[in-house]
Amino acid sequence: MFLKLWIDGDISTYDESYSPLLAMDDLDENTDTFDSESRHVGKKNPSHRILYFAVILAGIVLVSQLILTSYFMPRFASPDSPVNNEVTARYVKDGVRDTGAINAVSGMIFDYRAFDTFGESTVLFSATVFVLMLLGRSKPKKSRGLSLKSNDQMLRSTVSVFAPFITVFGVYLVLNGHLSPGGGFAGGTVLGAMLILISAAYGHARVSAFLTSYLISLLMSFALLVYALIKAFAFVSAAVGENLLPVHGNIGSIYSAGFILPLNICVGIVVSLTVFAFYSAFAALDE
Amino acid sequence: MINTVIEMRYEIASFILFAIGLICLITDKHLIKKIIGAGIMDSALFLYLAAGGYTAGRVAPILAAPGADPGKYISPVPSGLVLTGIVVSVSTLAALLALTYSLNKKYGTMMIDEIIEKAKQEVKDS
Amino acid sequence: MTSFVNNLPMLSIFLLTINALFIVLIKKTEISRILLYVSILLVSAFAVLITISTLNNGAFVYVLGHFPAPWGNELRAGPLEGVMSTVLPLVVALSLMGGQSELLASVSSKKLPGYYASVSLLTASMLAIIYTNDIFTAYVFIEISAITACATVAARDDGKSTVATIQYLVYGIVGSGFLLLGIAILYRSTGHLLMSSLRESIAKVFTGTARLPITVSFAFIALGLAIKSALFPFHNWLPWAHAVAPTGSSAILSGTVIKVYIILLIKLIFSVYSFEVCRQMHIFEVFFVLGLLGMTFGSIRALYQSNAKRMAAFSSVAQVGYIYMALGLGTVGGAVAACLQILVHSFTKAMIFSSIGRLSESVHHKLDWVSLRGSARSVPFAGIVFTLGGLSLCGIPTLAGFGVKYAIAQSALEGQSYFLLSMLVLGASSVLNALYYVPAILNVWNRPQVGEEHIKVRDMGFLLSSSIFILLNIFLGIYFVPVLRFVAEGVNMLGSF
Repeated sequence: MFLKLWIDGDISTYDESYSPLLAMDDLDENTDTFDSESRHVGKKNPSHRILYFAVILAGIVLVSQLILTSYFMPRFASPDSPVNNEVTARYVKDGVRDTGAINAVSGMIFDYRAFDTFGESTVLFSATVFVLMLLGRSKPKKSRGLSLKSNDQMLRSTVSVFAPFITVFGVYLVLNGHLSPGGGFAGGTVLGAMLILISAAYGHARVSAFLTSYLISLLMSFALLVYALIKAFAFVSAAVGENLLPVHGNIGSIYSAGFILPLNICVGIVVSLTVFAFYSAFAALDE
Repeated sequence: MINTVIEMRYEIASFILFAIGLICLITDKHLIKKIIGAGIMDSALFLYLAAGGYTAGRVAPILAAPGADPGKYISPVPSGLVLTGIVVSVSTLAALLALTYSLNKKYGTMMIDEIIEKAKQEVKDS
Repeated sequence: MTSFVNNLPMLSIFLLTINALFIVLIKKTEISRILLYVSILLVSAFAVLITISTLNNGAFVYVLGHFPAPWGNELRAGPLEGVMSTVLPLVVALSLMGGQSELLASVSSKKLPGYYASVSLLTASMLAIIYTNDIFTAYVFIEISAITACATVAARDDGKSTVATIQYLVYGIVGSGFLLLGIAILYRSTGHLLMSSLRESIAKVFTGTARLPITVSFAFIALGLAIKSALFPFHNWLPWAHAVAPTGSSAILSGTVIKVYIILLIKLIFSVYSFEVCRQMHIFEVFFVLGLLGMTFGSIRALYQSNAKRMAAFSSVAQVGYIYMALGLGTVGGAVAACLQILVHSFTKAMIFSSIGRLSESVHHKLDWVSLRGSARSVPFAGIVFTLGGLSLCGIPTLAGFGVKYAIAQSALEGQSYFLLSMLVLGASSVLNALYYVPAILNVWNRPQVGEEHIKVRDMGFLLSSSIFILLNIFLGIYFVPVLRFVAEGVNMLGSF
């Protein structure tokens, strides 16, 4: 039957293949949503209710299984946990000598396990490419004379006082990543948040007239390129056997820790521009 | 028994949050609630990882001098893992939000079942 | 010479990433495409060098930086990794070539540089997952592959593509969540992240109290990877995503992306949790059953699809079921057969998707069987490619699919535990495959409906890529025994670490 119909080309059935899990009925009566929800009220299929309870039961089973597993693992905050093994011992004992960084976490992510951080920066870059590709406009909107969009006097006066301090703080976090808690990620987030704050206070048109999406991708690609080249050089020189890293400098000063300072700056640029690019892609849609 | 529960409080909390986030992500129909569920799920995992790094009586690994005593500092590895995880989570949430905006613009609704129905209609008509 | 070849895995990954950076900066489509093809060719050439070097000198471990095993990060390459990273980027490039005209028609030219950059990053992440010796690096690059694969599906920017993308991304996030949970439990039980250190550590603690955590961690890691590679109950995203994406994207996704997660799973089974531990965890039975169900349900669902690409997508689900079934046999031969199926299916499915794209182009981009009737008569080469691809998946001798089925049958015979069941299932699935491919082939070669006009367009890219696919197919069909032995050596070298 199927074969005959098919060879003659007359079959036209279409199957429902979307997962019922993705479209579960919401049992909450008071759903305040944006669009009119009249068709969702009063739709209480008993089969959906059973499925709903099955999902809750599955969740409870999952949690209890995980708690049972955790019971057989070392307790929270116990000193003989496998986490404190010879790997950690070397990171703490020889971290300063090997990498020059006083912040052991920075030393670890930028020197011992630098490849993971490279992957991380690439995740940010690929997400930015995706968001800009999806939300980019085919025609750039003509700027309306860079006029101020918001009339929020309180926000503007606050930002005009605090923005320089926030910027300096962000730059301080990035540059001091190897000496104190901080680093490229934390400092980059602060700088990105500062850009968003200025954009929210003074209007997005002003900021995006300077930081166009092309400039953002240019700076980000440049930073990631510098990171990749530094790390490729470091890996190849390590494989060849020579220790071509620059001198470690005085431990405790800014000019120390080999490559960690440039890498922190690169990561700071990538993170701040990514955070701002995410905001900018959405804000540009509202103009 | 109560003692064990109190000792394992971080793990238990992170598992419960993980399950809540997972259920929201899979079963909720409103797109923004799904995204919030994804955020809760990821945060629960970071809580679990970070709690694994703490050892009683030790301080953060800002080493005073070369040759520090490993018995005084916590391990830097879980912090590094959480750092990477947070960055990855931010990227996926941003991707989800961009897709949500795009879907809302095309279909005018935020509920995934309506959107899927309309999309299936489109495929049938094409 | 040896010491320079060791750098090649790392250089391949960096080359593709830097390539993506340049593509984003230089926004011209032509230059982007040329950059992408050149870099993929270079990367495949590097992989050939790596394969030759590891066959002669044994697999090597490349330390990333100055710090050796448990403290630094590492890449590892053996013949298996070399072969996979030769074939998979080539399949990516050839799929793009084959689907190029449809890509240019359906994706706006402003988004094309972003598309090519995403494909370049996707290939880089696939190579990183294949070469890595560290489980957390694998997780980070799996996330890159998820986001960039979504970018290739969403490029078309019409409603149904966006729906398919968000479904894909949601399933992907669930899978990554489980994967990270498994990695976290594993890390807290052993304290290591490098695969070689994990192996020793697991062997030590598995007999003690840590048996349950290790089992649970593997269960979650396998669950996450199974969701991302569309094993049976979690395959619902695949027909949507692979059917509405542009042809090149469908071929890349079906052929390479879902396979990379299975390669990682095989690496974990062999190098991290050793074979014995996995056998005690009874994971092979689960894979066998789920693979069986996937094969059956995928084939049955493919039977009554009216959309050609959806049928091919369900056929992908069935073939992934094959891979898991071969893996679930519980022998080394089974894993070797699974790797061979990965290789064969990657370019066979790419062949099928490119030819479907070409056939549908000749009937104004319609994809249902009614419109596609007779389309092969206007583009006969596409019809030949489709025919060969379909016959290969059915298992006709001298085509590549036959070698795979023979390998699965042989390893089932060695295993002796599921022999009768595997034979029955192999036979049934071959019949099921034929049930939907043969009528499809007959349909496209049939007489076209009266009054239908078909467009005849020449497409050099398609000619070139499909010829290479056909040659590979026939080569693997005739010479599968040496290739099988070659892959077996690679898999054995996995276990020796």
